[in-house]
Amino acid sequence: MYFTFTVSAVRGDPPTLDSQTLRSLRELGGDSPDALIAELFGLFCSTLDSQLQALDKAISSVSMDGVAAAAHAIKGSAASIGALEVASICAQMESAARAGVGKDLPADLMRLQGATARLLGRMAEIKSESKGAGS
Amino acid sequence: MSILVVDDSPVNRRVLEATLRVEGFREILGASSAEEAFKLLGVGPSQRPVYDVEVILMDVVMPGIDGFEACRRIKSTSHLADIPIIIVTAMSETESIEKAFDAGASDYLTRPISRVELHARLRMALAVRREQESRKARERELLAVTQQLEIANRKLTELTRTDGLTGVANRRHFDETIEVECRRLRRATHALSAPTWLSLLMIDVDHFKAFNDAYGHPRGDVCLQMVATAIRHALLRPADLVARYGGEEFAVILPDTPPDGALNVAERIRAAVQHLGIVHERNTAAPVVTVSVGAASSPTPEGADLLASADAALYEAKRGGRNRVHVATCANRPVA
Repeated sequence: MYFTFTVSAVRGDPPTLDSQTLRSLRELGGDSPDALIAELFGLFCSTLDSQLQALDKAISSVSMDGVAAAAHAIKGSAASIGALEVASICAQMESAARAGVGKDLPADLMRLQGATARLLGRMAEIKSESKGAGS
Repeated sequence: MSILVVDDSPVNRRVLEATLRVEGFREILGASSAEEAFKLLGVGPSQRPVYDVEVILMDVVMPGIDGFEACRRIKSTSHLADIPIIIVTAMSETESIEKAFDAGASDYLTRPISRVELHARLRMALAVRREQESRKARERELLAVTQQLEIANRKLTELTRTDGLTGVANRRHFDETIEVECRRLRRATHALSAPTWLSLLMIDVDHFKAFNDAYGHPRGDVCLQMVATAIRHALLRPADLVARYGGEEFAVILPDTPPDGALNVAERIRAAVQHLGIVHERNTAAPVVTVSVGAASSPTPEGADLLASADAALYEAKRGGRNRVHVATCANRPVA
């Protein structure tokens, strides 16, 4: 219900990195599509660690506002680069926190960490692919 | 023209910027918070705008001040009130859209942002903005023209009431004023127990025809201008009115002035004109230009009666040797 656009992607689990979104971003990159993708990945990663730490801290201090804010922040950036799995987990966490339901949050955080690890792996693959294509 | 993107996520800002560039927008500013946007726009006490922003794309959920509140504050800043704000929200619930419009947003976009939609919404916002600006410019123009017209009208009215040579009131203005003052006094006399007076002075330059014959009309004109100025300066109250009544004849209306007050003013005028020291060798009264003054006062005046009395008094002043004041014996004694 939060990501109406996932309907247009695959049914079931949202993809680690949505190819449709990546294609759109490449179009925005003009003459150097890979450069824009690399820049966006870089921007995402540069804030991810501190955002995850903020989320972790908010969960352990049972601050629902903090969880909602941190999850929302990751969700927005992740959705923009097509990291739909990460975005989807963050959306669940945000809505749970806004509803004041904290019981699943520690487990969600674990899932999120798994998803970010997969995401970083996919990003590295895409980078090396584009380098390979460029040479 | 610049577009300001307010979003706490650097990724989202960069994506929006790239989208805007592809759509042909060149000047794009970014702010990572509402507070940063306020600094760029000049929101808040004693702040000046740093950039000229034409449209704002505003994220909703941000640390610190959120997008709705930011929207409200920008909209309530007078120099920014016309800038369209497009709220960009991930939530597509009607509640947040309603909140956006309540806060003064002109439109909204939901993430993920489609290029076509962004382009259409921006073009529309910019078109509305430009239409507003040109309307305001037309209004300003109209206002300026109206003001010029008012000034011109005032000047015209002033001209129709002013004597061209001397700059004092003309005969028409005098006729209107004496009627107004008579009516006003009649009303006041009914209402008040203490009597009030209206006084009138008729002033004539002594042997003016001889002055013109001896020194020429151009100097005659200058003489009349100087006499008019001397009379004007001898009057101390704003309600007193001096008018050019005829060729070398002036009239002074003195509202709320009893006979002794009128005599004082008349004598002051007579002395002031003599003091000008304009040489007039054919004057029988003095070697300089002088005036004769007839004064009349009444507590229940009719304009025509007052004029006739003042004229008769002026005749007496002339007959008595000129360069002097004669006060008419008052037919209408105060009733009190």
